[in-house]
Amino acid sequence: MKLNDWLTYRIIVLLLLFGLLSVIYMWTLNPVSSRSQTTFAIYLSIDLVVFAMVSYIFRVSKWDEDVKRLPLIAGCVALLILLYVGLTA
Amino acid sequence: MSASEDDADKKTGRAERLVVWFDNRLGLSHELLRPAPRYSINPFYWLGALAVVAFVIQGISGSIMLLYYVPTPSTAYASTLYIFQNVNYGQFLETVHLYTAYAMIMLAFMHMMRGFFVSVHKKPREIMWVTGMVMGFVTLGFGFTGYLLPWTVVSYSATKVGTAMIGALPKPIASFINFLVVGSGGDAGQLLRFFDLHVVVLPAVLLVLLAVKMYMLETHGVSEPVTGGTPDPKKSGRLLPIFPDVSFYLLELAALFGAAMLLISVLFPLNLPAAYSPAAAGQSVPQPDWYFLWIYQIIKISAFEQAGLSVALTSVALVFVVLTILPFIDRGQTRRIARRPWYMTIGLIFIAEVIALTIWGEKTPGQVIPNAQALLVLGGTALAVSIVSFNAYKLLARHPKGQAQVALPQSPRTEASRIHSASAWASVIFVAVLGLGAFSIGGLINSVVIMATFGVSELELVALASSLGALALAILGTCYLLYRLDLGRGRIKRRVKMFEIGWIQK
Repeated sequence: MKLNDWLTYRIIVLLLLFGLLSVIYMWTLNPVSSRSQTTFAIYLSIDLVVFAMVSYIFRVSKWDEDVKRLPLIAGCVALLILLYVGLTA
Repeated sequence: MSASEDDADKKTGRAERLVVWFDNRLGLSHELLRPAPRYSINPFYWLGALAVVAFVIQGISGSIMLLYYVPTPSTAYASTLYIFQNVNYGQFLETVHLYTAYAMIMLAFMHMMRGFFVSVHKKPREIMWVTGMVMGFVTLGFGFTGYLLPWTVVSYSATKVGTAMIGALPKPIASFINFLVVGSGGDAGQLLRFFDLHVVVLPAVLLVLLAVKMYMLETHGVSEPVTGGTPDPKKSGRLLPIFPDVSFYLLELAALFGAAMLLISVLFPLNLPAAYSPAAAGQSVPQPDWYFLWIYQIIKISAFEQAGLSVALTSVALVFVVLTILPFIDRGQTRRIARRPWYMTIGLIFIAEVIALTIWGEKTPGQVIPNAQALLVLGGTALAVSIVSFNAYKLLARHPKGQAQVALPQSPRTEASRIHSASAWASVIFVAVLGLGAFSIGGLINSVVIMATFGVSELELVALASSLGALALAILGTCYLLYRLDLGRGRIKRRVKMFEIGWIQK
């Protein structure tokens, strides 16, 4: 893990926090309403993207390879878009 | 047990001893699966695995729906609607079930075509290929049987068309399939058979086939890259254990795939069509789901309509048979893409024809296709793809890398890589120009077909002129690129001043 270890750990903590908040939010939704189901799908996809990013960092670090910026930036952009869609849906 | 073992036992905790006890009996810490090479950490190697992920998601969502669904003609639609409207996250479950089914079919197709292009069907993986093809048919069977279950007017009509086709097959095959999917109990019996096939028989068959394929994968390992040469055991050939290394990679892919599926289900929410009733069925045009549309479009061609359904079905079956026994047809040793232009071109034509027929089928529901139109569209697509493919191969054969390296002795690596990069750009532009040519030929054919069918219109004349212009541009671009490539090598016999603008003689 060469992408500034300290920064990478911060990213992981933020991602996990983000994932946790979205899980908590999902429990507050009305499971029968069509609109809530849309929101649920978006927040579940947020959690899946978070998982994929954390797993990527873990895996690449384990292989002694560099954590590349592009997948992380792409993941963060995807998360922001999903969050925006989730909040406005 | 020796004294030292006793001491060691005392030192370890109870939990650890329990783990060791299980491990000694179940072999959990032993390497269960063969490690995967580093070069296989690429999504294209895991398309089949993603299809299995889609199958798992369908298994989970389907199992929940199974709690509420009642497979009788009078209750099938009502129970589907009940899940949709009243069950917690019911709409979400049905939508995800549908889209992962589509994704599974798409991934299975991509997995097959990728295998075709990189020749995974060759020795010693022939049986793996055949097993994979049978799994593909089972996947299509899932689609066919699952489509009827909601008992909507669309699904009922389309399934009736499908089952009516069975009658055109040779008698022994027809009676076997009839027994399997139609039965003699009318609508109720048929729905029940489709339901049983969908939730019991086909999943069981698929799981057995999956186990067989996994066993063979363990025996033969992941296929080698097609670039030639043996991968470096310290770099791309380095072996990674399945757990946790490769498993985490697969989980990443599965998570991203799941996220994509969820997003698609949000963007294109499922709207349940109307319930089946004879009156409603009379008003709708029966149309199969998209993955069968290309077959349906072939059957609708006028020549096949006249020759009979059995001829059309035999032609389609022939495609599937050829694909299944491909390892015994394509027996050449080489797996390199660069040395298999014919197979590559045939593969590309197949993909292009399937896409063209599917889109065309969507645009022309229930219409019989005139022979001339079919010939123009299918022939034109094949011609366009062949032009692009063979010319791309021709271009690749025209720039041997070694020549550039020999010509520049002073700083060979830098210069050679510069020239290689320039050649790569030339290849990309060349393929783009050929693609433009292919599209313009397609547009040209489309305009001619429309004018021949519906008469000449101003709009179509403009479209025809645009296609001709694009074709002229593509031909000019191709000539220009080939001329500049030959100019660089000093192979020009007849000089054209216009093509030499900006050229500096060294």
